[in-house]
Amino acid sequence: MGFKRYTYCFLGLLCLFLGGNYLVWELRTKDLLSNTVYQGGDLARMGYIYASKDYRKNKVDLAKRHITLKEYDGRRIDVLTIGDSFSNGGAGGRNYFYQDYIATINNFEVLNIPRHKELDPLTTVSIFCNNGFFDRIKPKFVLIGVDEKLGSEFAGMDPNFSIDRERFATYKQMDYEAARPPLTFINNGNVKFLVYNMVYWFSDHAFSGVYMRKLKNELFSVPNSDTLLFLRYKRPPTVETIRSLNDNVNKVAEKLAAKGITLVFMPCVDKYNLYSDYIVNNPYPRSIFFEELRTLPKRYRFIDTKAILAEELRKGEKDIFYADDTHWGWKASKIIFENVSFE
Amino acid sequence: MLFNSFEFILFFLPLTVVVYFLLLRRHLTIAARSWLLFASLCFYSWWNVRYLPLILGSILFNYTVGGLLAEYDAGVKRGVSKKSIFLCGIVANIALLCWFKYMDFFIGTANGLLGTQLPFLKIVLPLGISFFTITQIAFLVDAYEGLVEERNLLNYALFVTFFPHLLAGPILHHSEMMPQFERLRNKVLNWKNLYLGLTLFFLGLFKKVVLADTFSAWASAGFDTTQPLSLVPAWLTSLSYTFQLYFDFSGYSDMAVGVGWMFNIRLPINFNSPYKATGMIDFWKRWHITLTNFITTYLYTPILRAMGRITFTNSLVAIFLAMLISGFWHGAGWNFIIWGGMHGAGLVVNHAWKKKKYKMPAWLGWLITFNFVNVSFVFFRAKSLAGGGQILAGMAGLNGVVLHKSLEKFSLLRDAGVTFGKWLDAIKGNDETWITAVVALVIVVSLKNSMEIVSRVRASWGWLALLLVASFWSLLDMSKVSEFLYFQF
Repeated sequence: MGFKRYTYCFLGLLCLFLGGNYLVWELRTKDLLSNTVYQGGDLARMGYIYASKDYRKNKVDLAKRHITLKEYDGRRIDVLTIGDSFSNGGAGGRNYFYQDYIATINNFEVLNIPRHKELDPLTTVSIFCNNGFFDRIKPKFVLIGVDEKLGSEFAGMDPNFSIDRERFATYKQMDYEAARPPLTFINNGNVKFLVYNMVYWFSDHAFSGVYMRKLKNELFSVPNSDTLLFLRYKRPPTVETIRSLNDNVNKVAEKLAAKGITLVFMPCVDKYNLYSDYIVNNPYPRSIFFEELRTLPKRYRFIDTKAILAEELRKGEKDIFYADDTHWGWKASKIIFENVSFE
Repeated sequence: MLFNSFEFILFFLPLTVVVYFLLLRRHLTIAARSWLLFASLCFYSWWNVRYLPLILGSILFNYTVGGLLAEYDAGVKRGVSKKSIFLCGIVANIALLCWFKYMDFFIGTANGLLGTQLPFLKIVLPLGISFFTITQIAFLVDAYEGLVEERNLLNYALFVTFFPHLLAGPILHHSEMMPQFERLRNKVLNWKNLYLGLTLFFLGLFKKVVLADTFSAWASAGFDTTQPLSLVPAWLTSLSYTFQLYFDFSGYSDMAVGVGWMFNIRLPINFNSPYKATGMIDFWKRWHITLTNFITTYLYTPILRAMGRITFTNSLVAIFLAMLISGFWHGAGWNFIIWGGMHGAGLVVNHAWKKKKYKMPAWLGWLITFNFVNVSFVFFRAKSLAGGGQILAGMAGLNGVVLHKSLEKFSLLRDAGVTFGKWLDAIKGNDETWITAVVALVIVVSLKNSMEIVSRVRASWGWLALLLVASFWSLLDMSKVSEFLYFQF
């Protein structure tokens, strides 16, 4: 066989390859990987798990909304919030900012400020104590809302860390609303979709990083209603870690108290942590984050999201977290802030 | 349009090849060349059609100057000397390049030195202007010396704009390319050339989108960070860029040569495993070979001639000056001039060493050369001299040493002042970063390069499998999914 036939072979196989990509994209991955169909669903996207998709579009139907730093016009601020994706509408869908529930339920002015890369939110708050930012804004409450995994990292922060405004300005802000890069119908996600969905038959994580375990009850309103998708703790926090983080939060709370500001710390319960009691034959260790933190002395207000949401789960409430996401949904935000008083 | 775009691979390239050979099959040679010229201008305009008049004007001007120079050789007398016309042509080309590429650099330098407040022009650099300008400067020099003559505007325009080499080389001589369009056997579709061209194209694409783009993420993170880098991330930043640049540029050159083959046109080879070089002279014989030839012929030789006497010392001065200019050609900034100066100095030392007939083990020569090149590329990539200095400070260990937590148990390291923790976070790296850098080093030092691989390709299933893997993998990676956009805990 000469070069001519091998060239035809190549071109034929290339056409098949392109056609296969087009089919997978149109039938499955376009839904998972692009924003065109629905927002949110980071776990379904990372694990390529089609049956767990919870279709949603971003919308807000609450009476009062929070403002961002760009919209800040010098008005009185009741609550200033800062945090990770939980505090930045990471899940998408209905009322995707918990700040809007704080604003509506309490008739508060709520300002959400961005997180900076290479700085954790507690360190940022500590910096704002020193650089005059809080003296200018004068909020009554500062609420730090972060995933409990990031909260554990506060153990390693330096509560006295201080930098001037010029240096602080060099830190870039995280953009949680950045649009996903546009994809064409040929992309490596098509292959990952095929591979992961085959490997999930033999492995609960398919080397995708997203774990998939059966639940004892149907806790979600999607086709995979009794399946939990979650990310594992790389290193579950130890008692020492939790004590250390509590010390650091206390120190920052004292700095804020000296300015007449109350610190509210809201570690957002990890999805696995909340649902771990409902997993069938759960082989993974449980987190002691909330159980340990609850017992420690605090000079800040603590929102025990695990206790509040676990109670709702016991009542059989569905979709507290989105089935396809690491983040909780609007139901969780509503329940939590109906249970929290800012008096 | 870029080679690594779907519109090029799936539409432009197949359409251009098919129509070109269909026209040739009907013996419509001029129509085929016109088609190729039209396709090349579309290829150029895809980025920004506003610059089409610029390249067309440049072609017309240089064609006219070339024609005038040729008329002198034919004995036609004019009011101005041949040399004046030649100099006018060269100055106009350099002025064009200066306007688009260097004006803001000159303004910035003037503001810095004289304390003036001249506003920057912020001119957008037209795609490929450096390449199509020096290609035409070379043509004018050759025409002035009577080595080349082109009286056909279509042929000349095709020589300048032929899309495989238009944007980033290889830098061509008229005499290398245009006779190939005339050869009868090149006017027929050659299946072997097409197959080998496809193989080389996709190997190049693989180098670009799979290898270079992988390193690009770490290099960008390292060069863009505002925080001082410790020892390991600083080295991985510089190595990532060194590998990125090689895989990117040599991949692009492979794609250009591969596309040329599809049209039965042999473009010159641009890279020959440069990171295997055991000295700076050796390096420049392997790195961007067509530029080295250009520098030697059109910079080094005229500078040496201008010095009057050809001595060893004068030749070293000429080498240094030629490399300094070459650095400036690469980019409008002091960091590029320093990069050129470093390579000039490296070549001078290498020539002096060679003349003294000193010996050095090959491995030591490689080690010195590779590290010298790696350090010099820090200036090539850095946004400013200060930025480059910050990376070099990190590489020298001035910002401390942070290693992975798993090494904390070694008291020797602790005693030496090493700290442990998030060692590669500053460059958004992980274990994959250093493993990939080691693998890349092994690839560039010990494996055959893509041209050597393609020279062994036969019509067999094994080689077809290689082509399929390279092409499918590259096409998939051209549109990469970022699943972890929100995964930033």
